[in-house]
Amino acid sequence: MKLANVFTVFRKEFLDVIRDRRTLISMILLPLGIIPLMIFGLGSFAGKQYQKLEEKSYPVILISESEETWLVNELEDQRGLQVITTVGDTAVSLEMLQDRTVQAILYIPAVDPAVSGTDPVAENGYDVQIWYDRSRDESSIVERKVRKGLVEYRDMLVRDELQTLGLPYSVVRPFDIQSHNRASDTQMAGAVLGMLLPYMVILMSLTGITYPAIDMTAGEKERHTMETLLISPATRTELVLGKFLTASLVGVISSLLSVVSLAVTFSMLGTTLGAEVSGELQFRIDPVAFGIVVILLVPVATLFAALIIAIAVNARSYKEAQSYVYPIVMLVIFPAMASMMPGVQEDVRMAFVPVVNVSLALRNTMVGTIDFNLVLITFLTSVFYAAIAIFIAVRIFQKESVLLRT
Amino acid sequence: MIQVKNLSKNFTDKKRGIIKAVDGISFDCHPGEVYGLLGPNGAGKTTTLRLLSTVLKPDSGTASICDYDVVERPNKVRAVIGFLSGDTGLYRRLTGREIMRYFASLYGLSKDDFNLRIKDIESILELSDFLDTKTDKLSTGQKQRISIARTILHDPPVLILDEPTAGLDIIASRAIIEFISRARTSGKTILFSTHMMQEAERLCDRIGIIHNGQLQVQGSLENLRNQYNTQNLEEVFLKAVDLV
Repeated sequence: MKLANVFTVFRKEFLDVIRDRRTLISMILLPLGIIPLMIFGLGSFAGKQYQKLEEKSYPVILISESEETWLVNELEDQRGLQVITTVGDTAVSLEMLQDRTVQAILYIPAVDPAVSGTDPVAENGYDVQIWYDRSRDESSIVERKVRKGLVEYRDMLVRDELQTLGLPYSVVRPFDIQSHNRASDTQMAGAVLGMLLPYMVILMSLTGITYPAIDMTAGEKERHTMETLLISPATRTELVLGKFLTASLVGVISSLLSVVSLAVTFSMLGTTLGAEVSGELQFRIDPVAFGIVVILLVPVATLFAALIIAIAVNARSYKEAQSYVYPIVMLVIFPAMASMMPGVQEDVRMAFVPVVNVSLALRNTMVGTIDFNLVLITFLTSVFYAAIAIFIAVRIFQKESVLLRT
Repeated sequence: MIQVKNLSKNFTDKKRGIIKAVDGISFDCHPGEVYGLLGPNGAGKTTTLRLLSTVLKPDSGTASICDYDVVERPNKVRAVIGFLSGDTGLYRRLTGREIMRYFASLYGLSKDDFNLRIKDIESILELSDFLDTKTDKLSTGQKQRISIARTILHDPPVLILDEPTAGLDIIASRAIIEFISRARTSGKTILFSTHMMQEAERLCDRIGIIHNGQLQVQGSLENLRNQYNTQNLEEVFLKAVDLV
C-alpha cells in the first residue's frame, strides 16, 4: 500500500468536500448554528411564550358556601385571575372547564366546625379542591396561581388564629429551610455541559460525516466517477482509506466546532442572563479536559466514517444511501444519549459499549471526575471498533458487484 | 500490446440465473493498431473492456496488457492503460486541471512532468479556454475532451475506449475520431468498442464482432467483407450474429 496514494485521494476528496455547499452546511453551519439556536433561540422563545401565558388573566370559577372576599381579592389583585362566583353548580363548572371557558375550578366546602381548625382536638382541616386540565399550559398555570393564593390565605388564617390566641407564628413554623449549593461554578457548568456536550458532540460528528461519506461512495457511483477512480493505479484499499480519512476529518471538525459553539453559547448565556446565573454557568474547560475530548472524538469519528462508508457504498444512488444510513443514524443517537440518563455511570463494563462509553467518558470529563483508566479503556475499545469498521469497509470496497452496482 | 485468451465472465441475476456476459473470448491487438469490438447493446463489449481494465476479475481465461497479467498485476495494468467510457465521469466540483493533477499524482507523475504533459495535452486537445473551469459548467463536448486528456495524461501505450462517442454531437464525435487516428499514428495499441458501423469502418484495422458474450468472427475489414461476400459492414455484422 502506498501512503502517498492514500493522501492524494484524501487531499482531492477534502477539496471536493469543502467545495460542496451541502457538506459545508452539515460540517460547519450546523454545529455553529444549531447549538446557539437551540439554547438561545428556542430557549428564549419558549421563555417568552411562557411569560406571555403567565401574564395573561384567566377565568377561574370559585364555588363556595361562604363569602371569600379576602381570597377573591388575593386571586384577582395579586394573581391576576378573573374569579367567577356566580356559577355555583359543579357539573356546569366542569363542563365549562372541558370546553375551555374557564381554566380551573376552586371548590371550598361548607365549613364544619369540628374540622375547621376551631376545634383544637381536630388534627386536620377541611379539603379545598382545585379541578384543572393538566394537558393545557394555561390551566396548569392557573392551578399553580390558585394554589399559591390558597397558601397565602391559609397562612393569613393561621396568623389571625395565633394572634387571637396570643401565640407567635413560630409555634406553627419553628424554622425555615435554607439550602446552600456548595458546587463550584466549574462544577455547575460541568454538570450542565456533562449532559449536553457528549450528546451534541457525537451527534454533530455523525451528521457532519453522513453527507460527505455518502457523496464519496454512492454519490461517486451516481455521477459515474467511481469507475474513473477504479481504473487509476491506486489500489482499492488506498482509495477507501483516502475517503475514510476525509470523512473522519470532517467528523472531527464538526464535533470540535460543536465544542466551540457550546463554549461560546454558554459564555454568552451567562452574560445575557445576568450576574446571578452567569456565576453558575461560567464555561471553563481546562486543557486536560479538552485534550481528553479530542482524544475520544477521533476514534468515534473514525468509527462513524468507516461505518457509513461501508453502508453507503452498497447503494446505487445518494437517495438510496440515505435510506440505508438514516436508520443507523437513529440507532447511534440513542447510545449517545447515555450522558443524559440519570444514574447511568461509566464503569469497566460500560467502557466496552461503543458510543455509550464515549458519551459517559465525555460527561465525566466535563463534570471533573476523570478516571484515566476508564478513559484509556474507552479510547482503546473505540479504536478497536473503528478498526473493525475500517476493515469491513475495505473488504466491501473489494467487491466488484458492490462498486459497479449502478 | 493486448492478449486475450478464452476470457469468460459470468454474472448472477436473481431472475435470470447465471448470465454468461463474456464467454471464452480470444483476440489480440498490437501497437499502431485499432481493434474494434463491434456488437449490439448487451453483447459483452463493456464487460470485456472492464475485464481488461481490471475493474472486473475474469472467472476463467487469461488476459495481459504489455505482458502484465490482468489478475496478477492489476496495478501495473492500470498504469499502462488509458481507459475511457461513458461511465468514466468527471468530478463536477473540480476544474479540468485539478482532475488532471489528481490523476497525475495517482499515476506517480512528478510536478515537473505533470506541468510539461498538461501543456502538451492542452494544445493537442485545445483545452485552454476551459481547463480552469469547474467541469459542471462545461458542455458535453468539452467534458469529453477533459476525459480524453485524463485518459492520455500518463502517456499510456494502450488505450481502451468503450463507446467513446456515445451521446456526443457530430463535432465532439469527430474530435474523438481524430484523436484515435492520431494515437494510432503515434504507435498506441487501441482497443475500441462501438455499435456504430461508420466509426468502425473508418477507424478499425481489425474488427471482432461480439454477440451473446462470444466473438462470432474477427479479421480485417477486407477479410470480413470477402468472408460474407458483401461490401456493407452492416450486412457483415447482421450475418455474423445470425440475424439474416
